[in-house]
Amino acid sequence: MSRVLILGIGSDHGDDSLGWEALRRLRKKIGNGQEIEFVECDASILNCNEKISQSAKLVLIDAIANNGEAGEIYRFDLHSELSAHTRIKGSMSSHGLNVLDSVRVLIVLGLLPKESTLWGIEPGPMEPNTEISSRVLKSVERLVQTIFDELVVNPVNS
Amino acid sequence: MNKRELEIKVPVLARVEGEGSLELLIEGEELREAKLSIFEPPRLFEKFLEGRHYTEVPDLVARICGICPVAYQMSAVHALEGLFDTRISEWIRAMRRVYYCGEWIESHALHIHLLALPDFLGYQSAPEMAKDHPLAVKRGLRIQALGNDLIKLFGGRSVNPVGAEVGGFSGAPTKKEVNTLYSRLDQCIDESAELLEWLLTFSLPESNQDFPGVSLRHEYEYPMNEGRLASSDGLNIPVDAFENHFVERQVPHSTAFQCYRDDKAYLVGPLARCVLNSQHLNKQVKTILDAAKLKLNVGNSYHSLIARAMEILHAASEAKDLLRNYVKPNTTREKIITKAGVAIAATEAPRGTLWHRYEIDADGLVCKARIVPPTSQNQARIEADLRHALTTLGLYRPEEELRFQAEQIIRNYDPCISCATHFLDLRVNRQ
Repeated sequence: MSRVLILGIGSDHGDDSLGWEALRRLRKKIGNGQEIEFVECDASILNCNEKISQSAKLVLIDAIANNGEAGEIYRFDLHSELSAHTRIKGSMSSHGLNVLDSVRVLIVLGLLPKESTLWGIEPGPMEPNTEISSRVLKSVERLVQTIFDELVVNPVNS
Repeated sequence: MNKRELEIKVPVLARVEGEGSLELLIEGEELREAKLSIFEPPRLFEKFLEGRHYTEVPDLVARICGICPVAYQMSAVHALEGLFDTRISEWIRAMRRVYYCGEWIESHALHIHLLALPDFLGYQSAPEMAKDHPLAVKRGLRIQALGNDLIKLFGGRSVNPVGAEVGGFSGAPTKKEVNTLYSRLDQCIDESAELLEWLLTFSLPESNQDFPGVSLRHEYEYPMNEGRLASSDGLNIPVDAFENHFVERQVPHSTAFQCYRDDKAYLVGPLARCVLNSQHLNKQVKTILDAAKLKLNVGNSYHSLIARAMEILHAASEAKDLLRNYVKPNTTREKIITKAGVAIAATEAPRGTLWHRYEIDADGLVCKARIVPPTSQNQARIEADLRHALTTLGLYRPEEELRFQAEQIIRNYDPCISCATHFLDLRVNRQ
């Protein structure tokens, strides 16, 4: 059992791959031995439900389409946001309802770790089999540094 | 004449499973058009595969679908091994079935518990259903997890697995790893039996449409990786004769092809498999089905819910049988001698028959690829089912009711994860 589970959610559709890219960079930056597990997945995060339920802290990284500027970074605490039905509504993730519905199922079943955060970046183009845009790539680097600081440099509540 | 136009759309998705939309045109009491459009990503991959070495194909095609990567790998490796005259060992053959069992279990468990059951039990979403049926959903997630772990055993990981190769596997699990998983199979079998018994208590809607089911059929086992293509109306052909009987057509309203068999829409998937291969189903599955006195009918798409549960139990039982005396072999792959030619195979993906065709040159490079996935084969059938179901329900019904019925029909086919998990966004224009 890892203390922290980081799930990078994505596909190979342009900026939709940002979750995978961020995960790769975090893995390289953090390295082994930090009780942090890195898992690349698609929208079917319930495939990882056992890993999720056995972790003390969950970090999800995904493209989030929220009518913002491409490259904008978002952070949501999943328990408070989803329970309150406030900021996260409907299918903000580029994967539609899949990820959030899956998270809601995990909350209902008591399987979501108390500390569960969704980090996201507003995507630009998401054409099949295309590269991630340079604009979003810059945000990925900032996001990686922010998550690194929160998990490794200055960990809080863990 | 009163005319109202209903446009029902799935939100735009950025997932490989694609996007879908449904447009209904109702004039008076007549349903003039029911157009289902599904974006089919395999078309992109076919071009993407050209110029690639055959050894890259299993890993590349595994990326086509996040839910059934094993199926794509298996159709590819069997096609290529057929061309290269590769004789695989009994161990490879058996472990490929275990690998496939894992995928059937995880895919079917996901569909039953998170996509189909909320519809049958009258909930708007899976989370709502989970509040009232937490034990059933937790049981479903346990079953799904075991399926994933079976895939991971041979694929290295359950998402985008990498263990399958042309000629065998890149490695083999240890006896200890197999034993750990084997010890969980009894619980999975018991829970799968409970699941099937529970679903058989549901009152499924009556439907008896006239269309054939198509699947692989094998002489002495439930079909996964081998067999001939058979149908409930008498077809019995080798898989390399597929193109003589099945034709894909482009339709103006969809970026996807629709596949027809001799000009007819048809059904592929677990229901067709169960009906066409009932003699090879596990004994416990047959006993439970007999006790419930349900006769599976390929013309009733609601029976696919039961068929999926039957296949979960069958697959868990078969995996246990195949792993009972597991021994790690000295070699996990056969030597490959490439040759130029056409490679064809079909295997049974969770959603139905998955047909692959590759043209390979003397260097082992892919010159051309063609992939016919289950979703494109079922697409015409879904449209016909929608016409039948909505007309039977009554086109005068409120739009919300029509939308829910349409969603339920589409989800029932499990066309792809992204389509099946999204609520249709109903837009109404009245004239």
